[in-house]
Amino acid sequence: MTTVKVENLTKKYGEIVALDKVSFEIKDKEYLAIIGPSGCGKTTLIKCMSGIQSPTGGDIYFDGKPVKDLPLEERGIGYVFQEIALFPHMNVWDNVTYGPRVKGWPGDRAAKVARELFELIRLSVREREYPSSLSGGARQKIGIARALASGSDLLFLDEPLGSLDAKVRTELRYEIQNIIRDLGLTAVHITHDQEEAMSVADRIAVMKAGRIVEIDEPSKLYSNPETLFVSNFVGEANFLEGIVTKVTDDTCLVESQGLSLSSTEKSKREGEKIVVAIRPDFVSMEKRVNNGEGFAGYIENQDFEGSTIRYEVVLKDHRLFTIRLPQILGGLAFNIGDEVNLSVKPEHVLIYPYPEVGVQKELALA
Amino acid sequence: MSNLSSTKNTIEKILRPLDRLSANPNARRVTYAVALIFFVSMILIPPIIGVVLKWNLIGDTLQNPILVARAESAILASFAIASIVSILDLIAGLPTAWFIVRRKAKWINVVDTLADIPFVIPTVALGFSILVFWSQPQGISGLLRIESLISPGLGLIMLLHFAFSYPIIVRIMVGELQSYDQVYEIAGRTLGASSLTAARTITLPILKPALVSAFLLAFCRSLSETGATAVVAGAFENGPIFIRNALSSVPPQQGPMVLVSLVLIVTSCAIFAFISILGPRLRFPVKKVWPNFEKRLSNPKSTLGRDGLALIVFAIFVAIPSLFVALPGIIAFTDGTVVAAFTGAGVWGVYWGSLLTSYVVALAATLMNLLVGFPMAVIITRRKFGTQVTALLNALISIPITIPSVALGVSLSLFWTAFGNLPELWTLILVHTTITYTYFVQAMAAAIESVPEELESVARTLGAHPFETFRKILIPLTKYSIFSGAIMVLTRSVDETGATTAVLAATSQIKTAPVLLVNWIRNPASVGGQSVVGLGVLFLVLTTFISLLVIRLVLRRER
Repeated sequence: MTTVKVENLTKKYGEIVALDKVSFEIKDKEYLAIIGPSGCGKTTLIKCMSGIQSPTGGDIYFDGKPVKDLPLEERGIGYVFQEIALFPHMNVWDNVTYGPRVKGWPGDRAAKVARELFELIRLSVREREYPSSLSGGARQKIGIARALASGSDLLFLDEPLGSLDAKVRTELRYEIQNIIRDLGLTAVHITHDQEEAMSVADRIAVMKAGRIVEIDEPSKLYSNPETLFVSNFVGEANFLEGIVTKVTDDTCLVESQGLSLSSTEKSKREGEKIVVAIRPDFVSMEKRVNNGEGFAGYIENQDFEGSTIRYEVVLKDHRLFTIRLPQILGGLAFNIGDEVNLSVKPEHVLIYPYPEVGVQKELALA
Repeated sequence: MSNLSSTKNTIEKILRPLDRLSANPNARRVTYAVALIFFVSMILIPPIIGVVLKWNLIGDTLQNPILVARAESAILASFAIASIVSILDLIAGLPTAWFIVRRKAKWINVVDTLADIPFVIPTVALGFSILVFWSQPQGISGLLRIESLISPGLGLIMLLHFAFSYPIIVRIMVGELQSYDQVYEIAGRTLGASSLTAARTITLPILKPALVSAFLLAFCRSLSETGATAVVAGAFENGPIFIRNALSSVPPQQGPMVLVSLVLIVTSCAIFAFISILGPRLRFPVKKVWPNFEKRLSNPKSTLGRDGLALIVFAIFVAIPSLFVALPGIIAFTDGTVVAAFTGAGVWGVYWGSLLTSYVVALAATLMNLLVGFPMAVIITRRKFGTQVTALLNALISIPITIPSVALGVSLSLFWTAFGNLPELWTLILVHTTITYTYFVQAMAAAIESVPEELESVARTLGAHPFETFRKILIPLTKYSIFSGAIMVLTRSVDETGATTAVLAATSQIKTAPVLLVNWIRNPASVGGQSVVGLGVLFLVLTTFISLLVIRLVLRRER
């Protein structure tokens, strides 16, 4: 069993605050992904948690025991590096058995663990091969096996797929997820790839400027983010500034430069200045016949994305609206220049208070 | 202003035909071929052929068992001293380099700077400094109220060689540790390795090539050193001192000199090649781990103890003895010697003449290097003759620094006497060019390597001819490195003693400052005592120091 608790973790580099009183908990066998824009502090966070860096303040507990002052090598963790960092002067076998060896395990025990891990990761390379002769994917598999060989129940993955090709990345992320689930490990996974985080993690923490702004299950984080920043950072969204015109028991009506929208959000008050976020995937589009329902506009651009088609629609007031339609659901039925009507269900109209710093600044990633 | 611009225009007009000519592939081939021919004929072959030409002189020497025994023991002493000192330097220098790189405190910059002291001080001056510190009443012997703590001889040679090879190890390892990606070591520690275990089983094996080359450079430096060794050797003979003694005997003993030179040249080249090839394959350190023991040695107290010990060794055996050079010089400022020096009275006239000779020779050697060394650096970095030839050239240009300088001097002197019958001064310039060639080419190659080749390609796509690209892209981007490389060559040449001794006959009217100073130090009474010697050494240190200060200023401007 391994639980993790982080309390008010702070890291400063001179005047720069890289981590600002970060607190959260990770349950036993939970897979937590941490995402955020570049420079938000996610790497600093994982390095402080693992012991690679020393925090300026706060506490870290593994299974309820404080570990902040423990040296890196005594924390009993597994760590998978973005750089992979296989020891270039050691062959595959020596890399994987390094942990057991430096811990003084008997040779046969180390060998047994290594064999089991080779089987688990379905390694198809020879044990006597050196890292330089392996592909990126194979190297990272060895990196994972090496991290697991010491028998730790807590695994830190620092952008483990960041240096791999897209195809290998997709394959390996599911393999990593399976290994972690099969072995019942607690895992902390840093990534800048939202899709990767969404597909493997039980929960995702989103960071901004040294703080965790939201932590939740992937589906909730996507369909109903609590903050304007997360609605922008996780996935894609159309943002409209407006004012709440009416609040009823079931809905909230919003006016945005001539467009009227209905939302199931009820916590707002009439006259409040707000920002509406609408995911491109949750918008319906149909060719305009007469006036029809919804917002009218015409298709200015279309991008083929593989399984989906992304459209840019210019609304009557010249605002640009993005829509994403699955190809299988008739995504290819539209052409550039088509007059269309757009509609959104009230449960997909997300409403946020108008930020004090302004919309652009609130949404800014840097 | 207009004069300057018209001069620039004139130069441009003169160079334009050369630009156009450089577009012709044959013209480029000829340029590189000339650089290559110069290297082979003037740098590579003469040191090897010189002693081989006098092969016949060895026969008589081999008939003399006493001389052979003396030569044998001198050669063995050279290799034994170089091996022991280089290993000790590695053991002492590595923790210091580690300490400089890994400890994060501003005062460590002071240690970093102090570690370079033996580099800054000319070797003859360093020899004098170490002699005074360990052997003479003004030094530690006086403090302990004994006549001489360590008399000139083997012990003092070891201390001297330890001191001047130490910064080579520290400087190379500091550079390597700074550029080493610490992620491997961190990975080891996440797997449970203590800091000592991680350093021993991961970092040091990864840095093995650097350790081998640091050892080799320290080894070659120790094997080659002559001037400072002569100062502290007393009656003891190693290879270079044997050659020096053979040279200074009247008449010079050419047979023994050729024998020892030949053996030193062949053996040092063989050892250099052997270690270069086998060094990277060495399996060290041991793979086995002692977790508890190494964990104890990794705790903060043990680390502090290790750092403290490294610093104490550095202070006692390197920093303080090297800085002692200033003491006799300072005394000279109080007893009127300095006035005599500036008026040029007595021995000082010869001294200033020798300093001038040193700089004339050094300037000429630097100019030669600029003319022929720079194209060679381009050939190597831009692989003008293919990868395999480049690798071969890279190995061959190291030969002049592999051979002990006095043996190199003997061989070159014999070669140029046999073929050119050149005046001594010209021979001296050629010898200094050979000795400094490797340093210059390697420094320039590193500078050119740092300029992406794409920049030159961009200029070519914009219509610039090859020579135009060279002078308008490559030269401006490397001008500071060229300048500091040139100063480095100048300094090395001014300090050179071993080969210079071999070229200049004992009766020669030409003397360079280090050669003159060795004679002064060995017989201070003949020039008016220790304060004269001290001041002479101090002036040489100051001129070197100014040159190095110029390098620092130039490099700072570059940054």
